[in-house]
Amino acid sequence: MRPLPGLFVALMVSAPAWTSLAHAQSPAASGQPPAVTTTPPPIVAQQADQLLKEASAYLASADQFTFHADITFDHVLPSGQKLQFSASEDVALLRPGRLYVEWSGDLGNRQFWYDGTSVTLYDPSSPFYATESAPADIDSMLDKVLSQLDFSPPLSDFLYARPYDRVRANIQFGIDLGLNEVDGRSCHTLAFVEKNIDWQIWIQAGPQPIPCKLVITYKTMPSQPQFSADFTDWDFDPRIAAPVFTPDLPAGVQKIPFATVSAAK
Amino acid sequence: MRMSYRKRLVAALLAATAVVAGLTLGDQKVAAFRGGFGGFHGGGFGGFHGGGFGGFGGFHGGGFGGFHGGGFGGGGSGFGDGGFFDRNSDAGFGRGGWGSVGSAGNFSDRADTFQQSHPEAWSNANTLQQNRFNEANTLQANRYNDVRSVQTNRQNYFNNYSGSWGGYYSGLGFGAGLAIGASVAALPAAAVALSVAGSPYWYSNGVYYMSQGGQYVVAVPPAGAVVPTTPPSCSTVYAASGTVYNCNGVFYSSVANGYAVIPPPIGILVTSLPAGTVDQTIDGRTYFTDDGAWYQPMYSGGSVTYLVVANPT
Repeated sequence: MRPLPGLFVALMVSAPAWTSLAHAQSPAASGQPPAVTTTPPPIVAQQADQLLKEASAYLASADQFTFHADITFDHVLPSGQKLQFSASEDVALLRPGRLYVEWSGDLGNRQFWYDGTSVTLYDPSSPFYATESAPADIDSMLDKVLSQLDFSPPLSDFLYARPYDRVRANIQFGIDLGLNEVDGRSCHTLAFVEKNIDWQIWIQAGPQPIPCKLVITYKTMPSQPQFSADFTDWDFDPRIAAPVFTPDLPAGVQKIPFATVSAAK
Repeated sequence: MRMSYRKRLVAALLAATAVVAGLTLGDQKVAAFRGGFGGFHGGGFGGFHGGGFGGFGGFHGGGFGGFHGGGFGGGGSGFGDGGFFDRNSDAGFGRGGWGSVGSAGNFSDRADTFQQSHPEAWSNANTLQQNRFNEANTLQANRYNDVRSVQTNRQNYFNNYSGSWGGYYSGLGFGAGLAIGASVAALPAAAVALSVAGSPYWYSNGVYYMSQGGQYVVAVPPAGAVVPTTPPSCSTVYAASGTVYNCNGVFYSSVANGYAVIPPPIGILVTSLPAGTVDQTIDGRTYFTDDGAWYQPMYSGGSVTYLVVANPT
């Protein structure tokens, strides 16, 4: 693909629309309430939309997969200083109702199990775990965990039955920035603008349109912290042993409750 | 390094055989049963933890080791003794939807709530920052030696009232790194003298000092201390008992002649426990108490936090 000059022209042409859209969306900077305007219809480049659909369909069609992600994420101190930390995540998914997520990072580790009937969360640096009943399918379980237990395994977007549907509704603007290399793989770079975030996703070129990389910018928060994930080791024929989805807790750990959202506030 | 899944499958089969045969592999059994995941249990993340931040592991181990037998201190987290950056300790694991595009709305809603209760994060940041650096420069000479010696001692001073901002007095900015127990040769110029239950203290900018052997030692904020103004970086919390101020994990309420240090009010979530709390099981539930406040551990937003509760007995 060598549309580089053409792409440049496309960006130049589309830039004014993007600029005006961005201005329409950022009244908060002046500290005044947003003016009442009709939201312009979403402008998503056809190529970007298509690639997002293909990636989503490819993941959705898989009965199971595992992947590894190298992650960096920001925390902003009250002074405004932004610190970046690292983590890695390993995910094993088996449809319709099995999930294991292991998170290991600078600020702590987590293990998350879902076996079709309950979810279990464990912080290995503590002597506690929590478990709660969960619906029988992954989508419903993830929704419940987010809305009631106030957390979600990072990158859970890719675990839903229809990732495209989940993210598409909030996109206000999207462009295709062309092919770039991520860890030696050629990936399409897509960039999207939403009300609360901007995000970029790199999707592998070729017969396997899987995510190479994801960056989310929380642009409405001070210092605009980012979350980024570099995907590696996608495996769609992983032969996951069944015990992986069963909580494996050390002897002596105690069960404590989850704080549900209403109680925490 | 990550193994291919063929190797992992073989490893799993071998381990399974060994277990059947009655051999105990200890931790390796856990890894082997992971089947396809043996690779990352092998410490693929070692790059960070084995390096320059290894020393901080000691704080974290000290925080729990006292009453949990130390078995859980090795979480591998370089910092996270809790609550460094928010009301909840935050390992970055998807609190409120962080790290997911589709959940960004959830996370932003929570961020707005945080903003309303942490106005200092948005305004006066520069002033706060400048004050912090001035103070930090004044005390800098002693800082590294003191922190290092405290690390070595692994005293369980830390995690005291450190709810929001971690075991350090981060009100002075992350760079100041004044840990409880650190000693300084001279007090900040603006320090005021206090007496709390007959003991002399000095207070400046949210930090309390006691006199020790000709030097001053950073002390745990003493309950009942009354100071003229609140420390920097306070957020207003509306507890059942009334309005309280959460200043870097130290709670204050307004009194006639200033602001008094109070224990965390009931209904508040804190990210770490004060020193000296003991675990108790009542009606099958685990609590921690220091004969004053009662804390119930729960997972909130994906992290272990402690809810201040009424005496359950």
